[in-house]
Amino acid sequence: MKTIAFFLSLVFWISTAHSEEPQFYRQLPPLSEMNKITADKFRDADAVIILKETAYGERTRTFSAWASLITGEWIATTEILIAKVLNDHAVSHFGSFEYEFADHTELYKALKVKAEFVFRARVMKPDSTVLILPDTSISTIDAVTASDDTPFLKKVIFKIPDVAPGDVVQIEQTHMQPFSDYVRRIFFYHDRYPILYSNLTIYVPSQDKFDFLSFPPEVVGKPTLVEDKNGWMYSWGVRNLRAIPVEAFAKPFGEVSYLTAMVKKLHKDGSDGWKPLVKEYLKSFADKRSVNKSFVEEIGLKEEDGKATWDEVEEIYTALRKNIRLFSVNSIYSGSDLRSVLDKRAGDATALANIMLEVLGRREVSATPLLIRDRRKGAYERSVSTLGWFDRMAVLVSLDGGEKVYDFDRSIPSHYEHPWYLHRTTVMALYDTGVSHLYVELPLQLEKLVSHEKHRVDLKRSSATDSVTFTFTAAHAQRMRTQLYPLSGNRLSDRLRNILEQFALSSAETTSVNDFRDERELRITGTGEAQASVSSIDSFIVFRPKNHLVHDLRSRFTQGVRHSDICFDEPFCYAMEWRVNIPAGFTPMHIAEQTTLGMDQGITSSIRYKTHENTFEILADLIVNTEIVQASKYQDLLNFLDKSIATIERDITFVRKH
Amino acid sequence: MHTRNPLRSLAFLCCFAALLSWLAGCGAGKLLLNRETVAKLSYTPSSEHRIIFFEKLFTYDQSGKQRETTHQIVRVGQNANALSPALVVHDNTIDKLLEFEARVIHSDGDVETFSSSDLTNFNLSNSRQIAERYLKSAYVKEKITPGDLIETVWVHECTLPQLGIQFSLSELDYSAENISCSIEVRVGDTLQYLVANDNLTPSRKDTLGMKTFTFKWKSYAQPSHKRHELEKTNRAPALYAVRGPQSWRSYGDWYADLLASKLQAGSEVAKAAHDIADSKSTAKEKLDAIFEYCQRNVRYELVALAQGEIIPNHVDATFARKYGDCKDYSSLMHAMARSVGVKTDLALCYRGRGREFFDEMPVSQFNHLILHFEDNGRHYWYDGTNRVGLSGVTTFDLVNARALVIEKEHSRLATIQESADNLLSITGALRGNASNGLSGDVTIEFRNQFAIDFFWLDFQTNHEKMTTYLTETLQEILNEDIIVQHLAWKSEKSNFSITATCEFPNCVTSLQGNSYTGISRVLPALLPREQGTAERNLTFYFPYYNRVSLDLTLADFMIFGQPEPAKLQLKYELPVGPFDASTRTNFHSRLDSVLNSFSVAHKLTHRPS
Repeated sequence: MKTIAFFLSLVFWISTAHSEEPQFYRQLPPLSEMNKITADKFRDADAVIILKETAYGERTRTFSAWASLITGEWIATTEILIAKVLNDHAVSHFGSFEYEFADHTELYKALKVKAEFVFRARVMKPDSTVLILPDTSISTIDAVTASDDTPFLKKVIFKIPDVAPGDVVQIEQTHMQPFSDYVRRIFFYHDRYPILYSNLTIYVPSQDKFDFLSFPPEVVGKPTLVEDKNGWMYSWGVRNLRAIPVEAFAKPFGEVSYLTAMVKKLHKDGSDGWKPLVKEYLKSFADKRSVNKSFVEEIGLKEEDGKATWDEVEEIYTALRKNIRLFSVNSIYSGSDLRSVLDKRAGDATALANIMLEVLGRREVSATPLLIRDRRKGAYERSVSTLGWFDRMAVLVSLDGGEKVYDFDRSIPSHYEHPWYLHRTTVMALYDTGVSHLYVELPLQLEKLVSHEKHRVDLKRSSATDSVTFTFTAAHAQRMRTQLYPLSGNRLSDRLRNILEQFALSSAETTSVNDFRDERELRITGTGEAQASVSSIDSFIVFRPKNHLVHDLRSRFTQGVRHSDICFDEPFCYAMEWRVNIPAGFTPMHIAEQTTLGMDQGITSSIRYKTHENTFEILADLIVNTEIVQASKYQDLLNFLDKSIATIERDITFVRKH
Repeated sequence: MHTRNPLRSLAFLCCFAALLSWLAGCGAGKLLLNRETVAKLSYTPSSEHRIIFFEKLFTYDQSGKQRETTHQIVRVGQNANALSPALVVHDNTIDKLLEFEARVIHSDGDVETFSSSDLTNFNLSNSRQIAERYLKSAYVKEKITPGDLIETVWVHECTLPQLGIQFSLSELDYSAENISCSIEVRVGDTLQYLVANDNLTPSRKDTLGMKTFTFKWKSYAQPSHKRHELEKTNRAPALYAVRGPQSWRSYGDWYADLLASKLQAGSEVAKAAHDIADSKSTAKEKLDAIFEYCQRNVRYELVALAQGEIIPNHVDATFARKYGDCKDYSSLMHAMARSVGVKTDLALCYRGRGREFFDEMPVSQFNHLILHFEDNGRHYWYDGTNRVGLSGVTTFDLVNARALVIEKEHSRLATIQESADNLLSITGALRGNASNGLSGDVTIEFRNQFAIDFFWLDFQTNHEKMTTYLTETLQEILNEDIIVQHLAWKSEKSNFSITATCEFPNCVTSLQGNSYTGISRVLPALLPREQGTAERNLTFYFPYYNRVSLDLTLADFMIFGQPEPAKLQLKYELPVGPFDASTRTNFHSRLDSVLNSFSVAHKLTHRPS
């Protein structure tokens, strides 16, 4: 019972937050133990988290307002973090704090309730001195306000004074929110730093409405359980977790970290927890019959009778994308005000999916809303029935015995193509009767996953000009499209110039790009002085080509050590070609034979040469016919890429004809 | 019984509302141009977004406060879909937003107007910087289409007019035409101005009690070529101006007064200063000890409230918090030094190389504050911001920068000298490999000012990230294609050295039984490529390491006819700039001489094993 009382003080009893002597929930660890944690022992870490603890509690409260009884959930979350900082980077990270939250002051005022916050921090120096952050150093600012200064978003900010490498920092924060229906109830144990102890405690009322699921279950284990007269307290603890570093082509954090999720209990009839969630979601956010004939015409479509064909479905998607600009941020809780989307000609993926559903409904096509969490965020766990997994809605079209998913994302062109990040993922189709988890597997063909790099080189005695074309396809194009989508004018030109001057051109005189928001291929062209090196030695001209695609791939792997497997978006191929004019009076010499390099797992590269009357051709390709390279093969991959680059960029020598 | 047709009433209301809306669009706002004037603007048709009218006005209000009005009209190009629907304006305590009006004239005739009451405010403070800076934006409701005109006007109060007026055409978001900048000056006052990178004289118009100088540019196209790597960074036409008699001395006096109240050290700061410095005998030693203390104990954080971009926090606060930005660091060191009787002066400068400084314009051309100390005729510069710097010298990017030394009634410009001890030393032994490359162990040593960035990084980050950073550094300064197999480093006093086992691919050319290589093949990134005449005329500074000593042994090669192992050797010292027309020629002749040795291809033969 003592434990529960302590826990409740963690999450609900915070009225003494600003007393003169702040009370911390957790004691600082013993100095002698802390002194054993040194930068020498953790030389690849900026800091070590001693304790990461989350305490989450829910209470149902009923109170009187406007002569009515209102019942709602009060949710309180306390986060405790104790870390030893090992270098200045960690000082900067843990020494500054920022917490943003939506402001409902007006609503709370009307209901005569209030949200509460407590923030505390202290520092233990290596000589055992403890410095406590005074409340006066903590500011709550209006982060976003309307013109009349009504706040929408608030932010708590503070900087902890006098932190240096070797110090132990403790930060505790509690946020209690009345009426928090849409709080995400998924808790992660890992962090970007190594952790010694990672704890989670959840307190829920005794009505016993929740189930708890942990992943991986054998590691996280069963919770310890304590009951008091009003509720249950569940606690989990995991020790010695490695850091999850940020790495190129790594699995997303949410997929790698251990987690515990809380979900509403299964129905007594045995149906899973998705059904009531989805029913409420469809009712509140998806089922808006506001698309009429004029609406359809405003987005540039003809209102036609009869069942649409696949071609017409594609046209509808294209028309929506061409007429409505996509926001960069998505939410599954948007899109209900379609009129405003049309007025602004801008909306998020969910808004466009809603419109497409309605337009298809008018054309007698079976279309179903889908909720998506794609591979860029990580898979959702179907046994954990919470909408907190998902970040947008898409559309499943069923027609003539076939099915196709239409997603609205900036990476996809208006002429729809399958997004790479839905390949081998599960999406959730929503029906009035429940949900269906659909596994998406796209028909990938390597020959359609080829990105091209073409150079037309005008070779002189000591320099070369180049006309370059990069044609990106599939995942490569989709990623690039996301980057370029919001750019226009000088910003777009500058970005193109940067891409061209990264490896191909030393100075781009012209740049252009195709209509990449609409077309499936993304094509960047430029002309200028080549980065390829040219030198004249005696009666020779030595030309060394410079490639973009393999260099660009190699430049993503900057770290000497790899901690996680390399997960490419999809198998892919690069085809590179240099067509070099042979300078008058010269002829190519020492033409090497075809060279092929390879490592296991279907990763190969090859280079070959062709001589024509006035031109010399260098043809190279790189094939990565796999999606995963194990971390243990990282060095092999780097060696292979380095070797491939060196081989592609071998000298080509032209000798003066006698 | 009389009944009203509700639909007819609704239709009437709609018409009335539309009329009001149209009227609002036509004459709305006292700052916007009238529609006829907009319609008469001449501009070059373009498929790109284009500013067809841009005006800056520097005026006085009725109470004598100085205002800056910015007025622009953008014509939307074909790529309207990608244009943000937000009209954005900045607000902070130095340039305080007073008024805002905007209008979108849609090509279908609809007009949307906006005023300050439509602005949503975003506070830009976050965990990295706490500052009273806001971004304010209004959102266009109707879709923006090609041909639409977006007109915005904002008025700021210039709360610190001594900083002067600066307007660069590089600030414009798009290519522009009909550009003007007008400055009101009271009769009796003078206007000091300088137009950089252009030949332009203002027109003058006199009205009652006021003279107005107007500078006009017919058009400005964003530069089509990338800035050459040796070209100055502020290359766009720009106007620098200040009203009234202002000199560097008066500017320094003003700044000294502005800071005076922040520099009064309390007892704790003074006590700490004595604790740190009293055991030292000379002024330089005392200052070095204070510098060392601040370096180790004060971390870099930006807290810039109430004109905090210019004015530091109080030294007592910085001392208590143990964090601050460059102004806070320098002010604290200054106050501590003065507490123990060491006379130092604050100095304003600009951090970042390649920017032209105009001695003749006493306006703020600064973004950094350091400390100046003169001892027996020698000048020392203390830059606390780097956390792990060297006492008495700045980082290399401040070499030859102009600094305004702030000393009441004696403020003056000075040049931050380069340290003669700087050196990049590259030594090692390489052997040929099967794929026309060279492999082996190389030691790269950075001495003195060249080492400071590395000290900082070593302090800042962990082993793994440091390895990554150093590998990238070798790619950047030696050879983009270098393959690093093993890497170690160490810091020693004022030296930082890297030892690397590495491969330089494709740097040996085989021609008819002979092998050729040269420094430019092995270390192509060490020096810039040769420049054409046009590029040479734009040379302003030398952004590479300028004091280099190279000694690489090619163990299994010999230069034709000589039995000992071949060596790639080069030693040079080059000026770093900034260059003007007269010093540029000398720089290029010295660079050419270095490049000659750098580019030479040595004919090699294999040494018998």
